[in-house]
Amino acid sequence: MTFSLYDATIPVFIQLLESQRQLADRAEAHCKEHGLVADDILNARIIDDMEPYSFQIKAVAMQSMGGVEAVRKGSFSPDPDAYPDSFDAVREKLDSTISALKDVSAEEVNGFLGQPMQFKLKEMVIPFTAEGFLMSFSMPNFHFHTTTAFDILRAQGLDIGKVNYLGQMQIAAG
Amino acid sequence: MTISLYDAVIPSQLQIIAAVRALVDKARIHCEETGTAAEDIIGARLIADMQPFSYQVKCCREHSLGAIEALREGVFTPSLAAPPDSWAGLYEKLDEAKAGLEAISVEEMDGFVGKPMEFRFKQTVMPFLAEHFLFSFAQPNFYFHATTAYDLLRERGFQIGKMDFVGMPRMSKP
Repeated sequence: MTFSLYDATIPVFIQLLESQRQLADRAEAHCKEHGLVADDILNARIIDDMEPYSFQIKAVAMQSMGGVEAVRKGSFSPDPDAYPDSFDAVREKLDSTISALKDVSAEEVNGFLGQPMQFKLKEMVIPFTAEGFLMSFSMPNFHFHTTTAFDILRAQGLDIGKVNYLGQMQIAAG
Repeated sequence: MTISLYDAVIPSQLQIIAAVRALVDKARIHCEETGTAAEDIIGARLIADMQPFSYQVKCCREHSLGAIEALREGVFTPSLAAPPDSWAGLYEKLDEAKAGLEAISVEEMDGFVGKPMEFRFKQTVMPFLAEHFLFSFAQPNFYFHATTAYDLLRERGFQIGKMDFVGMPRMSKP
């Protein structure tokens, strides 16, 4: 049996992006149910000087498909895109990311191994291998933002639990 | 070239365990400096019906070294033991995880690929292949609890940033 860089990355991203997609639907339903406007959730934060829910959604795209695109280009820089400003925009961000990840082939990702790349931010340049970058930078950051998106919704009183966070796991055929 | 299951799992777990240990240090020092009772932080929650800091730290051990121990046994069952209620207890969990993870060999990890195992809790039994258990259950849980530990300290006004969560990524040698 073998295990590949593809197995360690793409299905992991898709699983949690799909669960975020469902959580976004629940967040919108929560707004309707409690007479809130979308911005009450989109702009909700754990604390004032942390980024809001809408940024967490942007970041999960940036740290998953954005990580793959960065490896293709050989460099990663945090993207300056605007935050999604409606639940439709949140869904569009998640759906387009899921769909792009489904189009990435195992051959391509497995071919990334050993490839050099750089993280660039202003004057800072940090060299990585593709796998070092994906596993030690993209992956922790990705999970950080999926969890923080969940934690924000949870702190806003949504009735959601860990099962909703995990989504559809890769369970063996019975 | 292929990536080993070891490379895809163990170094990142050690990276985040070290980062969480540094967060515990900051929390302890904060209490000592401000005369805050340890239990105010160890028992802190993001929202009243979420689990406290101590539980988040406990789960970092459970979903890293605990997941590997489960692969050895072929069964994972969530621990119902109370989380540690002291700084020493929190350090012990994290240090145990670090020592246990450092003792795992590449060969042992590679030997898990393709092996069946089960998640069992009360009436629930979910069959997994070892690698799917690690990436679709244990790893999301591991990062979830590390992030939530960070988020709840952040919510209490700690001066910490994302790099305190990510810790030391695996950069290339220049």
